[in-house]
Amino acid sequence: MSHGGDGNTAEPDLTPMLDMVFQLITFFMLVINFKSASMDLSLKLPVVGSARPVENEGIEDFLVLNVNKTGELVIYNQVTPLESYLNSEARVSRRKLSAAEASDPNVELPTTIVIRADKAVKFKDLNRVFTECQKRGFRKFSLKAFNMEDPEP
Amino acid sequence: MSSRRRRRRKKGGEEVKLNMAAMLDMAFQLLTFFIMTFRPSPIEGQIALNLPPPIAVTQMRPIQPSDQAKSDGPSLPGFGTLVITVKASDNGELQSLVLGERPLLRGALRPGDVNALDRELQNIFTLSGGTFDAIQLHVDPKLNYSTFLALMDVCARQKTADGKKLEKLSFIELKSQ
Repeated sequence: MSHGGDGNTAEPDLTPMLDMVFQLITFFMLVINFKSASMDLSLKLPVVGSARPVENEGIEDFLVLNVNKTGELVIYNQVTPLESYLNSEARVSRRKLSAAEASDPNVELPTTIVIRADKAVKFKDLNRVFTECQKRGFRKFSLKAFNMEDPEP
Repeated sequence: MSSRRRRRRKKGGEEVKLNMAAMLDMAFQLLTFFIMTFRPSPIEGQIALNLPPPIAVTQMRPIQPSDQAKSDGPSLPGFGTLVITVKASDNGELQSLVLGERPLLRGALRPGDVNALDRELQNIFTLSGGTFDAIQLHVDPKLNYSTFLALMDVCARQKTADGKKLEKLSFIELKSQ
């Protein structure tokens, strides 16, 4: 940072700037939400007035299934085959049960299936998702919706 | 090393200066990362359901008040289940809704229709005096999710005659014609 001339060096005090930057970093670190990576935010969810915010967050385990308007399963922005994906997730969920429970093929799995489906998806495609989940022992479902119109166009 | 420095400072009066620029560079890089990846997630609600695999039922008898229901014979299989048949038009909107055997709605679903269905279901579950404890939706495969969820929401809100939340809620797909 020499400026020639008389050879004086300007040394600004960087400490307040560093303080401010660290405060901003702390803020963003606290609000970052890695869960949203599993959500396909391009989906247009239906609007249902009585949809309640999630209350049991952190207690149960969830499996988020994004269903686009053509009825395809989207996981981490990739179209994924439904059957093979559910098979692997059911195996993971079954491991959380005791040995005696896990041996029962009709046991209810502890995972809640969170369905985020586009409002234009046909019931036929959605029902396929429900049926495949039920076949593998998933019983608890949570259907996602906005409780007011999405402000974005 | 620090004691040596301290000693040196005492002797020569030198000051140790940390190079903040490097730390600031790194902090700005971190800040840029967090700003670029920051995406506030929208506030979403949910409708929680417990859905065992459905067993198809048909409406065994018309909907009737409790005094008439009591006078009837032994309960029939599927008697406690109210069947709602939902048909859709080609664009996925509601075409007709039949409650048991009684047509209730016709044409695309409007906010008033949802309230009408809610009132009707409340009447059925209250008047039937415990006759019904379950709802099964028979849904047209063409129906869009938006309408389906609105109907599920109304059904999930119902309470049985003893004041408990209706838990037996299921749906099956109508065979396409």
